[in-house]
Amino acid sequence: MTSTLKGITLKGSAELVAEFFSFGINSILYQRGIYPPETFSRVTQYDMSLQLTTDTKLKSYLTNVVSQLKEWLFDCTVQKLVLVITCLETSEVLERWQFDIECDKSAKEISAPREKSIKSIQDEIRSVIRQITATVTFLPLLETACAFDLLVYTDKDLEVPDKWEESGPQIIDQSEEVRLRSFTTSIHKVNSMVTYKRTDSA
Amino acid sequence: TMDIEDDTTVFSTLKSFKSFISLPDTSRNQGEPAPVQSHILQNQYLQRLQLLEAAEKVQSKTQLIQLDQEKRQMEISHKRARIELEKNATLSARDFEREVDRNQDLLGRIRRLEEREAESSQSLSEKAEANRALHRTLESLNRRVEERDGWLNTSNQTVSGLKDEIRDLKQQVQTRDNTISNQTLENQGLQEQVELQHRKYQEVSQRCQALQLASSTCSDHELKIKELERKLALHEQDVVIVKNMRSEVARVPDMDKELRQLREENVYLRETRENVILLKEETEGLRRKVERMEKMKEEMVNVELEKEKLSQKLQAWENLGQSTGLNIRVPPCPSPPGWPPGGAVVYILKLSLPPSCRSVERSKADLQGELLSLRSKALEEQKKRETQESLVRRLQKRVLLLTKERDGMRAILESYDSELSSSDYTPQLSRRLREAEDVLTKTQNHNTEMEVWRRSVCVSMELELEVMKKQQDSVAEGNPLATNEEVNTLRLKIEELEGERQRLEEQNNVLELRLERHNLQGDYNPVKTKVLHFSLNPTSMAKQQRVEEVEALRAEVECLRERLRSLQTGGAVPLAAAAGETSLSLPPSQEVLDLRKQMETAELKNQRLKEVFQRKIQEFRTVCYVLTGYQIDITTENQYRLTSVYAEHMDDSLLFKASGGAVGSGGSMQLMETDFSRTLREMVDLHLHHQKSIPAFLSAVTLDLFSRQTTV
Repeated sequence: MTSTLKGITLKGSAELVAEFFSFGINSILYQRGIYPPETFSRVTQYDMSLQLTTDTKLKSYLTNVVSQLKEWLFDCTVQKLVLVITCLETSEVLERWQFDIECDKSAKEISAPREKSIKSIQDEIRSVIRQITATVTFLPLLETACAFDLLVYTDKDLEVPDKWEESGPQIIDQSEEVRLRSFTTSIHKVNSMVTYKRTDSA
Repeated sequence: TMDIEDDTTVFSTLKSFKSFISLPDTSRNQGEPAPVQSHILQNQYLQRLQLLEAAEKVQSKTQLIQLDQEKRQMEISHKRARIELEKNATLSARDFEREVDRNQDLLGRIRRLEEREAESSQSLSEKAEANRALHRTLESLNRRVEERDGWLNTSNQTVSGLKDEIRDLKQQVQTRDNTISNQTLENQGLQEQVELQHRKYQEVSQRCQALQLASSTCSDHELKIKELERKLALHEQDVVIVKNMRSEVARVPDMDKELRQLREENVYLRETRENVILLKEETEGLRRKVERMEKMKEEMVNVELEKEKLSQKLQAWENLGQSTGLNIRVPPCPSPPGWPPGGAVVYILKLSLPPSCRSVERSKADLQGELLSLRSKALEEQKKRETQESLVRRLQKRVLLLTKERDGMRAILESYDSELSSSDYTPQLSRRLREAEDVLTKTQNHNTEMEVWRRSVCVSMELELEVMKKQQDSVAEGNPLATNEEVNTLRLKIEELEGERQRLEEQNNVLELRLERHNLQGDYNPVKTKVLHFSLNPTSMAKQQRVEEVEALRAEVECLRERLRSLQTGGAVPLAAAAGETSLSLPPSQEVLDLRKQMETAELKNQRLKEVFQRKIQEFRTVCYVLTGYQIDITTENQYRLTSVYAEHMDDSLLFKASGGAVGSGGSMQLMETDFSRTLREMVDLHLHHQKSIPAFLSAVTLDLFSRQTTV
């Protein structure tokens, strides 16, 4: 839809960012081995080959979260999206992939599309995903069985929808933080960073 | 057996025949597919057939012979058999007679036995009936028990239901009591509030009444106040008027003085005016003279011009003279000292001019001087006139003001006169005049004071300005002591502030770094943000699954441990355990429950039957003991010990052994040697050996013992 229009509208920007999150989360789950690699299938997106899960339960969960996220991006009420990886045995948080979202609220009043080419946005997204893939080299191994969760930081006065509930921030104590690349659609700016539990050997 | 053997030989011959028949078929089948070699084969075949046929014939013949032989043998055997049979028949006939005798004996016995049987069967039937009756009673009892159980259950259920109802009702009663108590409390509270409100209302009504009275009094007071204020205003107006009157009256003597002065000035001015008029006439005459003098001057100018022209002509003539060579020289007149050269001509010309010019010039100079003096005089006069005119104007204004004041005063005085008709007002007027004068003086003093103050202020301001300028100059020049100190203090302050600023900048940087780090770690401001997540998220589901797995594993482990324990204790138990208890297998199905119930009922039945049989057996044994007089105990397999009722010693017993299997299947009973039986040798010989009757023996023994007992 947005590729046919010349500029970026608020709705188009929300869709682009939601799409990025969907593919980015899948990439992280594949790279970190949260789900076995045979449950992923290869697709092409952003001029690169990415992995998408075929597990129906996981797919339905992701579509639920991403569709709600799209609404919130359109309302400019979401501030962060965090993917938390927890060890099942010890219930400790091992990794946090955090995406800060800065929304230009003037786009809500002025409905005129902004000048930014879709190609440049896709290039930026591609570099972010490549960097995520590259970070796997220095992140500590996840040896135990892990599960993941998606947290959304929103405005305090937002109405909590059905099937959602409040939760804690699940912050890692003794962590190392690495800031990754960011990309912007001229309406939404997404900063990425990864925080991981410091291993005692290091 | 011969028939059987015949059958078998027939069968065997049939078999061989069939096999023989089948052979040529196969040989035939083999011969068909080769027609080329058929002639040889056919010949062979035909030979073979012939051979076979011959063989068959031979065989059949042999068979026939065999059969004949067999038949003869059979006949022989048959005859033998007949002979034997006849022998046997005779033997059997003898046996038969014997047997008939025996049969009769046996029949007798049988009849007796049948009677006994009948009796026993009757007894059995009775007992069976009794048993059945007992069964029925049992069943009925069971049914009753079940009914009662059912009744009990229903009653228990009803009881429990009733108890629940009772509990509910009690709870309802309690809640209602609570509500009633709460409501009574509320009622009390509300009543108290109502009373409070009543009191408040009464107080408020009282206050209202008081307020109304007070407001009415206030309004009256206000009216009074307004009237008094009006009176006050009128008084004040009167006072003001009186003051003005006093001031104006005070002014009156000064005004008289001023009037006199003004009149004198007027007179003086008139005189001066007349002088002015005279002077004007003089000036006019002088002007005319001046005009004439100017005309004369113009003529003079023209004359001078002509003179110049003439001089130029002269020069031209001189030039011509020079050019032509004529020495027309004018005798150079000795120019008077100070005169320009060539000025002699002029002088001559001037001399040649009519002396009237000189006179005219003299007169002109004189006149000019007069003019100047007159002009200065005129100017002075003009100035004087102007000042006087201004004075006159001022005086006229003052006069006007004074006349107005006087008229006003007169009017006021007339008004006062008109007001105060009868009374002697001169002292009042004088008093008022004095007051007015006083007011006038006061205002004049005030005016002068104000002017003085103004001048002093101006002076002071100027002085201050000068002082400031001096200060500025002094500052600009540089008062080194004061400014240096100030500069040093200011520099120190600046340095301190800069140091603080740097510290604050560093702190700011550190805090910003910390904020950045916290932001990276995921901190948030709880006032503005909150964290949400999907309820059915993978982590929670994985945790749940883990917990369930762990619990399932624990249960399995416990069950396996129990099985192990049971296996260690005994082998038969685990089967029952496995059958009765389900560990990890499926929950007990309806069949299993039914089977269990059936088992339980069967066990119960078994138990009851056992009890019943026990009782019955006991009864039977006691009856036997009582009736027969012997207690029969089974010691070991097929060995029976009999103890008599009338036994002298406890150990006196007879041992019987049943041989040939159990008693019922045709075996015989034998007496074993015991101590007691040795004492009864005679009876043993008589009844057992000769009569071969155990009951007789036993009855004899009882009779013997009974006789012994009774006699002893």
